[in-house]
Amino acid sequence: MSFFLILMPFFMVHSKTYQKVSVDKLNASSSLNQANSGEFFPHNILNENSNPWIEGKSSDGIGEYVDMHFTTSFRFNRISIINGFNDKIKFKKYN
Amino acid sequence: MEIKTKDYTRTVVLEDSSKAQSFNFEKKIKVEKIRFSIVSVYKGSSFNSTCLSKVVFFLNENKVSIGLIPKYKLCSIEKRMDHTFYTSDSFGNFSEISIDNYGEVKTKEWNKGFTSRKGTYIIDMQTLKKRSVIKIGPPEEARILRDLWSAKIVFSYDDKTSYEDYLFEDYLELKLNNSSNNTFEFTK
Repeated sequence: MSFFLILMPFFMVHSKTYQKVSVDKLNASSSLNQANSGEFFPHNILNENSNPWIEGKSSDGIGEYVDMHFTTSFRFNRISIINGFNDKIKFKKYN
Repeated sequence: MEIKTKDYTRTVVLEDSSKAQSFNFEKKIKVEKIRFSIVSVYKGSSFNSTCLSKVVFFLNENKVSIGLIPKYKLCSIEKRMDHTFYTSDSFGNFSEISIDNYGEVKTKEWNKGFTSRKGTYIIDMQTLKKRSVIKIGPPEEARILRDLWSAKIVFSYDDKTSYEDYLFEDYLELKLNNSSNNTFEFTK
């Protein structure tokens, strides 16, 4: 019993191990380029606490896209997406 | 927004807001390449519906951790009339490098990281994510001899905050021909 209790934290940690994959290429059909600052390029979507990717067309953005190429394949059955600005000040600035 | 892989396509409706929204799939989707496309926008929409802050994949309750590959590639270089080079890299960063024919090494927003005025120049990619103008001129002896000279610029990037231990390196070589007509050549 004590042996099991010692090993239990080990199994608990390993049951939550994340799968790790790498992005080979990250392309967008267009990106908003404010004063050549590179602030809104597609790599932002992999980066915590950064600006978003914003399409760079003068139109409403329909048809614009982001492509993610991974070095290896993986499987998923849920996606969580945060769209928009996470920053109210920047949202007002660029909106 | 349309989510498309090689053999699966689904359109999801994102609220016109800035909060995490999850979408479950009835089966496990195998992916090596995925495209997120804007297929419609809210009428009178705010900016939210056409920008993407974060994408996270899950397999059951396990998050798929996504990192960038530990290498940095220069993708394009564009030379402009004012001796300015625009470069872009595999992560969509870009920088602006302007070449001056006087031996001054200056940046507008950043002035450190150069190991010497001739030979190899080290430029911090963290800084190049912002707009940087870097002026590099020939060394004194080149100006006297009015001959070809070259400088190697090494781009290195080690963003421990965002990409943990990844290190990105690449270089380009600038060959400046200042012998007669004040023109500049670029080779990679």
